[in-house]
Amino acid sequence: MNDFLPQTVSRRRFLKAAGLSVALPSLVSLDPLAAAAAESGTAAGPMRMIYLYVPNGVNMTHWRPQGDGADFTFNRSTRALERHRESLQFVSNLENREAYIYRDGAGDHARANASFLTAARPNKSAVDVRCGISADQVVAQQIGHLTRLPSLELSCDGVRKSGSCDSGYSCAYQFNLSWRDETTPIAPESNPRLVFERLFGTGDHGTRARNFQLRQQRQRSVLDFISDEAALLSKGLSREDRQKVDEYLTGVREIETRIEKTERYGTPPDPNVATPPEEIPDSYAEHMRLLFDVLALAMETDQTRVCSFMLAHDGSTRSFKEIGVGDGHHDISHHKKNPERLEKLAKIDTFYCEQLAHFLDVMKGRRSIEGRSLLDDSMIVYGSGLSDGDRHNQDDLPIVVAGGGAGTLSPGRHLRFEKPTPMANLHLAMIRRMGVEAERFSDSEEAMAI
Amino acid sequence: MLRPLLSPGRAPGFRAIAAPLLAVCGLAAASESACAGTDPHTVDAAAVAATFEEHCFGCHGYGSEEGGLNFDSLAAGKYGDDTEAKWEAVWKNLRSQTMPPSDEERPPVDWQTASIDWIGSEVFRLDPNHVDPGRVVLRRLNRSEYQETIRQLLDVSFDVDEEFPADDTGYGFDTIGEVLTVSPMLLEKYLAAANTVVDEFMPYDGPKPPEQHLWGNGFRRDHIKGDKFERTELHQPVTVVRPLEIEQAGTYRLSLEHAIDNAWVPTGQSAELVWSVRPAGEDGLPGEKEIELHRSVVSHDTADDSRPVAHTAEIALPKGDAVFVCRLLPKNTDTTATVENKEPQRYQFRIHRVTVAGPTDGPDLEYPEPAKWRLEQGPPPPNATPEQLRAHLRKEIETFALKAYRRPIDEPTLDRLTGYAFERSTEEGKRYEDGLAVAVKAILSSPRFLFRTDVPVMSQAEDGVAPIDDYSLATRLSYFLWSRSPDAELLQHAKDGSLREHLDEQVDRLIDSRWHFPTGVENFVGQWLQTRDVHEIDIDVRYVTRSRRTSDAYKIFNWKHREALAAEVEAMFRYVIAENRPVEEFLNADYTFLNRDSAELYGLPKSLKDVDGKPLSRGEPTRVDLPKNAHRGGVLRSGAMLLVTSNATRTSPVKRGLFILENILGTPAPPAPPDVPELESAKNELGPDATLRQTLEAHRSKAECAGCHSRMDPLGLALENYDAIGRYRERTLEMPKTRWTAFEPSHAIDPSGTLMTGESFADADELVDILAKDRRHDYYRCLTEKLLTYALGRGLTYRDGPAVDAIVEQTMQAGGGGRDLIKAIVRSKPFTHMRVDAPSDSVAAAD
Repeated sequence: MNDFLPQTVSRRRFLKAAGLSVALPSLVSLDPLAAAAAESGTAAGPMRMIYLYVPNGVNMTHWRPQGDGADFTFNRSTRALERHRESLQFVSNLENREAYIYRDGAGDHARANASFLTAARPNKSAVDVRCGISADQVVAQQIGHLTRLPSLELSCDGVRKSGSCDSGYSCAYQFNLSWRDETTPIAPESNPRLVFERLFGTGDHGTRARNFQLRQQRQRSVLDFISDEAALLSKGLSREDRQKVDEYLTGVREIETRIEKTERYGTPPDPNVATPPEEIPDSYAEHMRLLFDVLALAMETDQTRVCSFMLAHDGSTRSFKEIGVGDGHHDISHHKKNPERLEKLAKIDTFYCEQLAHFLDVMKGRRSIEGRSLLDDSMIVYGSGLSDGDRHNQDDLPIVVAGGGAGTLSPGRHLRFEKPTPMANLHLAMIRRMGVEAERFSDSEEAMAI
Repeated sequence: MLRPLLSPGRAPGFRAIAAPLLAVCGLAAASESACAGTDPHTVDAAAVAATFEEHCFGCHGYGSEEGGLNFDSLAAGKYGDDTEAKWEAVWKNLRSQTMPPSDEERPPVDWQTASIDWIGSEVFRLDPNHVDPGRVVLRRLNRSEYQETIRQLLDVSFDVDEEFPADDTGYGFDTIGEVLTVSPMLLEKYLAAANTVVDEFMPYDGPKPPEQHLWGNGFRRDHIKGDKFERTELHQPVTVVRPLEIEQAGTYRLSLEHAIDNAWVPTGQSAELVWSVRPAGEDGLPGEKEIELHRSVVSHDTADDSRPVAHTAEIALPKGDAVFVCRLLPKNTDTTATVENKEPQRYQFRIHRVTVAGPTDGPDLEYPEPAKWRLEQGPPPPNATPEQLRAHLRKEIETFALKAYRRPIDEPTLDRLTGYAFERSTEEGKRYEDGLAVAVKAILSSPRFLFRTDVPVMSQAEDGVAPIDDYSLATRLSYFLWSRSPDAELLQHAKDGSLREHLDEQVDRLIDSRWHFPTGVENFVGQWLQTRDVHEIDIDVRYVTRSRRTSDAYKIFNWKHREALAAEVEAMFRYVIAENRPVEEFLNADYTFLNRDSAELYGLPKSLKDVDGKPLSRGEPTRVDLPKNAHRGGVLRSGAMLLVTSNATRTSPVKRGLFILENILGTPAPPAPPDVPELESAKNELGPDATLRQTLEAHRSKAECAGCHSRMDPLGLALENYDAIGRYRERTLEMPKTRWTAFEPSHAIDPSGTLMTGESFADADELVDILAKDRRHDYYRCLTEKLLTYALGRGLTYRDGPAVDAIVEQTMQAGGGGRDLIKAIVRSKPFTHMRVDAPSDSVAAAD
């Protein structure tokens, strides 16, 4: 019942994989972190890149830090972050020009969401979905081979609204942060249990390695068959149809690559923690925290170094009864300068900052290498693609950059630019720190000095 | 005289749409012989002026080119390859009434219709006799289709919402091929899912002696003609019996399952439970002698939270009619709780079922359910030779693949899968079923299962259009109405090539299915009218109901109400289709579908009876003829629609208006322009006591807002008599200024208004009548477009205009019945045909 198809063919690609593991002698598997550091040739050790997205902008009055440089004070909504003062910096006056209205009319939520990591202009269409590759995927495609998973994509939105999304934009723009390429958004995973099992295998501690192996064995044996099936299906199809089959084949190849990696790295670690619960918890905070925990665990065990996490999609109508705000977030983000609504918004912003502070706690409590914490070796960008939810402006974005970047970042300050500065500058700075030699990223002018 | 831009009858290939549609003698016509020097993109300028001068030339004529459009340039072909896109934009803007803009004089409706028709006939050269069926991109099964199909193939319920990422939607539906992508993560999940569902399904232990299930509700008190037994309290002695027919003498294994309810807290209650049987005597009738099978004591300790508890026994039985006897003999009747509050708690006993398996020593073996029904070939013969085993596997794989691939499997693949399966089944410690599982998992991972393909009948291709083959048609039909794969009957028709002649009859059969048609309706209506969102939409119930305590609020509105509201709209839609009622009843019916929860929410009298004269239940809503002034009936006055178009704390006339424009009239308003003045700025001018209507009116007085809001607002404000959870009200309520003071009514509601098209109404009841009567044609068209989009899995374009017109025409002629509409859609060209590329690019069916 376990494996899938009998191994009838000896597989060339696994011989190739075996060859690879000879070329990379035993440096892996014992301590993946040290191994990875040695492999990437950086003395600093592996760097992690995490993007956290909050929807609908914020109430800037209570969010914006006061004072510049090292001399800044936290504002009301961000106070929870104060305990991480020395590990984070506020970056002000960033913009995403490609999300500006230009000739595209309404749909700021779709544009804000889709351009946040891509700095690209989403094509206004319900079906002709085009945007741009996202910063995390630029990195994942370059250094993803060093870890079991090139990247993780997470979200707390498991259920999507039916019907069409923002003003004629496909829902794909609002429910995905990461884009593999111009036309392929990467659907995020929202169930903490499924993320965990994908990383470490199913079952209880002690049985996961074996379960993981069984699953890969099964997958490997079916891949040959389904590749041939895809070829058979492609026959006689139009170009558009073949594109769909190609998407399928890309998936086949990705699984093959992953299996090759396992042959190289051995099975993933089996952390001595319980698998997250079957059901997604009702509490939003709890849901976020479960995902934060799995994410931190994935980074600590170096299963991946890149992650995008959409806490909620832009335009989210989630209500926050747990903090006494019954209205939908989107609804009140159109505050029309109504003091009561602005107050509620500030409450939501505070809530989100508390979650971020918690995540930074978790990252701080986990080990990287050489006695440093995971937070020290990370670059965590937290922010929204809109500034004011009512004005729908995509400049003056609320952005926090947390983490030490393995000693390359200068936290503990409020970095405020005089002129509106592209988000892409920040992305570029991070992409380069991840070890990717990139000339530029989208509309970047220069790498930001963060 | 207008030059044809597209010669009639020529249906262009899909990729050809942009350029060649307008380039009949375009680039290819460099020879000049065919087209004598005329530009392919031109239209007669005088005719353009005659149609558009009065209302459009102010901005788009006489040298003006606002928004990049000048009609003279357009007519003269100066936009080159963009010509078609420009004309399509004109066509779209006229249809959605976004042009001329609202600060200009509004042209008469007749002009608008005429100008749209003119573009269709003179520019696009749409020819009702040569409808372009379009082409649908390969469609992956979406989540609900996958779930239904797995249920159909294996009778396994797979939780797709939990296991798969949400599908993207396009044009409001999740059936659109273009946006149903396959990410590597999803592929991985498909592989894992195939494994999970097959392992759950496959009877790896092999066939078993036949089983009979005797369900608990067949037991009677004291003797086999006694009162029906459902349950009893544990402290009452009871004897219940039920007959058992033994067809073959032999040894039987019995599984006796009972359950104890209400045993939440421990008490002293206990009873002895004795199972026995009275086997048939020599005359084949139940004898007097009772043989005890099992004896046990039931109490709080043995109650497993109401879950069935099983005991097993074996007994040799003669052929004939036997009787089961179950006795409950109370031992301790003390119902006092032994913990905490000591309140009495009465445990209840019921019989879940008895499973009789056997004869265990007989030669006849079969698979247990669900494999018994799903593996059509059954287990292989005992002691089969390897060749027999292989043949048996091959046959079963072929049968299964036919259902999963929705067409016959090709021989090479069948041989390959049989090879895999046979090899596995002969491995040490493996059986036939292990081998079969390998093949079934492979099939369920294949793109040929995960994608739906349309195969053209190339031999009948004409002018670049070919009918899709019967297997494709069966698949389209089945997924349209049932959200699942074609069943045996449809596949048989496809095989015989007789589906087209039996099309109407098959549509009838699919609609009449009690089990599967509701699933199809749930998927279509769930998205068209957003009833899927009813369960999830965020509503601050305490605020909306102005309740002081949350618990009070949830008494008024909870998940049961939400379920009843979604069920109401779905039941209404099913009824209109199944009973072939005119589809406008979906707007203004004088009946609806209610249960007690929704009737209470709607504030209808408690004495309300359904059409069968029965009082309403708490379960499935039933049809109710509405009393006068109930202000209900039809979708616009349904709680579901009113709920999903509300904000968390209040109604939204704008959303409601938009909903009607988009989903009932088919003329969606464009999105709000940037930098619109805030609604609130109007409110500030008017002071805090202004009603929503006054605020919207002030907003509308601004020219840039008037265009859309004059279309949306009257529709939305007409529904202001319904609050955010769909309750009828005469006045709006405001929150008290201070806590604990009384809630004071603030404003009387004025639902009257006038539509853009001129019709006036006093309230929602009149509005729905106007929509159903005066705007009937718009509504038919809109519903047709929605159904066609959903059924085809692609967005509609102007090229589908003639097909939509034909469907509407046919339906109206037939009396407008829902069933007639479905049939007209199924018979339509886009549903039954596809555009095909030049033969060189197209290969016949994969098989």
